[in-house]
Amino acid sequence: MSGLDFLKKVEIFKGLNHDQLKSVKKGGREKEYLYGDRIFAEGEDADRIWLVIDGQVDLRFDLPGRPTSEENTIFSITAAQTLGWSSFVPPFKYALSAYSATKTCKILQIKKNHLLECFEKDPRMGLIFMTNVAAIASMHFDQLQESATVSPTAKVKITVHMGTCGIAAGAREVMSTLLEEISRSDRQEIEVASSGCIGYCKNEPNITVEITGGDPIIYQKINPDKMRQVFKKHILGGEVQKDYILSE
Amino acid sequence: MKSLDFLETIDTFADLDDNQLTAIQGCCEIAEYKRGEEIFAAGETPEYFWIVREGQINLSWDLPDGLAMPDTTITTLSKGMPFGWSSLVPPYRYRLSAHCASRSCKVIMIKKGCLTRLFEDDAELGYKVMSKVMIVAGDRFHQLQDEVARRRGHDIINRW
Repeated sequence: MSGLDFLKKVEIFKGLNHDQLKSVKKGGREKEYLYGDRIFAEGEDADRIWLVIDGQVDLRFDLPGRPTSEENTIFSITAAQTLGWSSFVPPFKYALSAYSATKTCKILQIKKNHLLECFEKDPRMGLIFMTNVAAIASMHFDQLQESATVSPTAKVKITVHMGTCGIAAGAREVMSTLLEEISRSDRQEIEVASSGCIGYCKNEPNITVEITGGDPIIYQKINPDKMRQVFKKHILGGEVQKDYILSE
Repeated sequence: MKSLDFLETIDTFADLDDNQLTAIQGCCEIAEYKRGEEIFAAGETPEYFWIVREGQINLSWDLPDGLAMPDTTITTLSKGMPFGWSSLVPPYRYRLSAHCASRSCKVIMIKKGCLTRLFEDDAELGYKVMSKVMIVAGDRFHQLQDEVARRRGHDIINRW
C-alpha cells in the first residue's frame, strides 16, 4: 500500500515528480500499531518522518506528571498526512507525543538522513519538500493557537431552555443542532442540560452558556444556524457572540 | 547597512555563497520604526520576510475579544534574527503581530516575490534558505507551545 500511488497522495510530497517519489520510496519502512500504542513521545530524538497509511494518530500535549489523556489531543492525523516535522528543526526532538487512535494504524517511516541525501542530489526536490513541511508546521501552529483559546480544563455547560414557549419557538431543533455539533467536534465532555422557561418568552428559544471562570451568557432567539455559530465561535473559539445576547 | 558582511551573519543565509548573497541583497530594503509601532498584524497577507538590523521586536499573539490575557508576547527578537516566516509558506498569512519594542528599530525587509523568484532560478539557494525558514517556523511553534503550556499550568492551578 505504500507504493508510489500512496506517496503521490501524501501532502508532504505534493509537487514531486515520479522519479523524485521513487527515490523517496527507497527509504520507507512500514509498521503497524494498535489502539493506544505510543508511536513516539514528546522530547524523544526526532530522526524520521511518519506517514499515516491507514487509521488515525492523535498528537497530544502530555502534561508533566499526568497520564496521557484524549482531552489533550491537539491534532488528529489521518491517511496521507505526516507526523514528525520536528526532525527538521533543532533541537530535533518531537514536540508532541503521538498515539494510535484507531483499532489498528499503519504507518510508513522514512528516515530524515535518507531524505537529506535525496535533497543533496536534487535541491529542487528539497525546496519543494521544505516548503511543504513548513506549510504543515504552519497548519499545526494555527491549530495550536485555536486549541489554546479554550482551556482544555475549562468545563462547558450549555442549557437549552425548553419550556412550552421555548418548544413552540423551536427549542427542540436548537437542541438537536447542538447535539450534532458536539458529536462532530470531539468535545464530548461538554455538558448539555434542558430546563424550563426563564421568563423571556418573547425572546425564546434561549440558551445559557457557562464556561468555567466566566459569567453565564444567555442567548436569545436562537435557531439552528445561530446555534452552529455560537458553538463554533463561542464554545470552540472563545468569542462571545454579542449580537445574540439576551437584551431584556 | 544591508551589506554582504551583515547578510552572511544571518543564520537563514549562512550556507550561501557570495553570488547568492548578492542576489538576496537585491531583494532587500531598510525600514525604521519607533517604540510601540506596529510592523505587521496577525492575519495580514505578507509582502516581506524580515530581519532585525537594530533594536528589539516583540512578536505577540492576538486573541479573540473577551479572552483576558495580560501579556501576549511570545518572543522578543534582537539583531540578526529573522521573522515573518509565513510570508514564504502557504497559506501566506502572518500568524503573529510584530511591534518595535525598543526606542527605535531598524529592520531589513526582503521582498517575498523577489525571494521566491530567486528560489525558482536557483533551487539550491531555495532549498538552503527554506531549510532555515523551516527552523524559524519550528522555533515559533515551540515558543507558542511553551506559552500554551504555561497558560494551561495556570489554568490547572487556578481551578484547583
